[in-house]
Amino acid sequence: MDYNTQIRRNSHSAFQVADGKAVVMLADNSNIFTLNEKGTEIWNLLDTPKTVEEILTALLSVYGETNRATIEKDVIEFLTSSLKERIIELT
Amino acid sequence: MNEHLTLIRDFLLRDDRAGLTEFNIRIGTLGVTVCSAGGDLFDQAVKKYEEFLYPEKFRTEVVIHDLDKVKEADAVKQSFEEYRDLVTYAEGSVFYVYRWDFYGIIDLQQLSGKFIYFYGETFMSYESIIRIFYSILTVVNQGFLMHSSSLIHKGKGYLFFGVSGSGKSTVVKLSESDTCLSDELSMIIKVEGNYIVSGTPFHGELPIYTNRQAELRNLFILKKSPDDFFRKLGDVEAYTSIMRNILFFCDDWGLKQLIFNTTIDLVKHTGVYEMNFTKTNKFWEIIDHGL
Repeated sequence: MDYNTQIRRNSHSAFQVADGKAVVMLADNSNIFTLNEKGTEIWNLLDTPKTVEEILTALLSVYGETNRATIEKDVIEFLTSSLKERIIELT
Repeated sequence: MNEHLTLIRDFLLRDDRAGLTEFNIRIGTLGVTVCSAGGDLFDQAVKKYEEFLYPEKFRTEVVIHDLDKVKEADAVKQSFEEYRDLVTYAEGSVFYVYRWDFYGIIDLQQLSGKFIYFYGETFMSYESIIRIFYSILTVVNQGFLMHSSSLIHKGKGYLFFGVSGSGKSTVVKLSESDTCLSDELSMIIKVEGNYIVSGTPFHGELPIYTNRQAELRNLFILKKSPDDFFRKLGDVEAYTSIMRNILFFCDDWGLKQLIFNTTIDLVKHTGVYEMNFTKTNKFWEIIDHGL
């Protein structure tokens, strides 16, 4: 995965937001995941497919450039684990 | 197989109701008119569902035919023998369901089910049809049927679920002064913003069920333990444990999403706990003191 990698939500998933957190169910195995605050923010950004760079830019515009290192780390961690769990997928 | 499927499908779609008679049943808030040939199975159903019978006809109906009206009945029966598990598929809002002992078409827009059973001597198939129909009907009405026992205690509804042997029927036996709604299958449905738990006539170990309902306060997943204590489940744990115990057969993504949405909403509105209990009724003391 690099900054130009384009990502989308798993196209066979359903989600609801409960108490500010996205809850995602996958169609093929009915597995359910509750995303943390940052994960929910990223999930919301993925209402349309986005590159890693676009996700970072969107979050930096909210949290400021000074937090870049932390945000980059959070984004990469979330995307990596979510790809593994198939919550999101590469386009 | 295909020619027999077509044969049955055509027969059901002709909707010939000559010689059929009917009864009306109301479980929770959901009423269904059941139309079938008179005879032993019909009589057994009317007797078993006595407490749930309703005097008026409902728009939602399930029509159940006997195979003997169909041509090549033996060949049809044989061609379905291999389907030991239920097969379901959807075409828009129409669901096709079949297995070794029946075939059915459920039209959610028309709110109707048309079924044919292959073995007229057993009530099991007849009741399975009604239960399957109800399981789908409940889901499209923001609810579901859940493997569980349920009780009304001090005016509120409580639901107990868990693996076989976890104590669902034991809880009922330990709650003699309360009203048992069901010891096997409870209906949960959202009515005017609140979740209601209702008894169903689909009973298990004990033929105990009541045609009553109450606002659902808590759901408890049962765990036998040397001590009585409760643990509030985290959201994901609550969603998955509830969904695992929902009676639902259709492999339809649209309906599964409805169940998912209802489950999340239900957890938001009620408390879901792991109930560790010692096979005494001490658990009520803890519940009454606010968990």
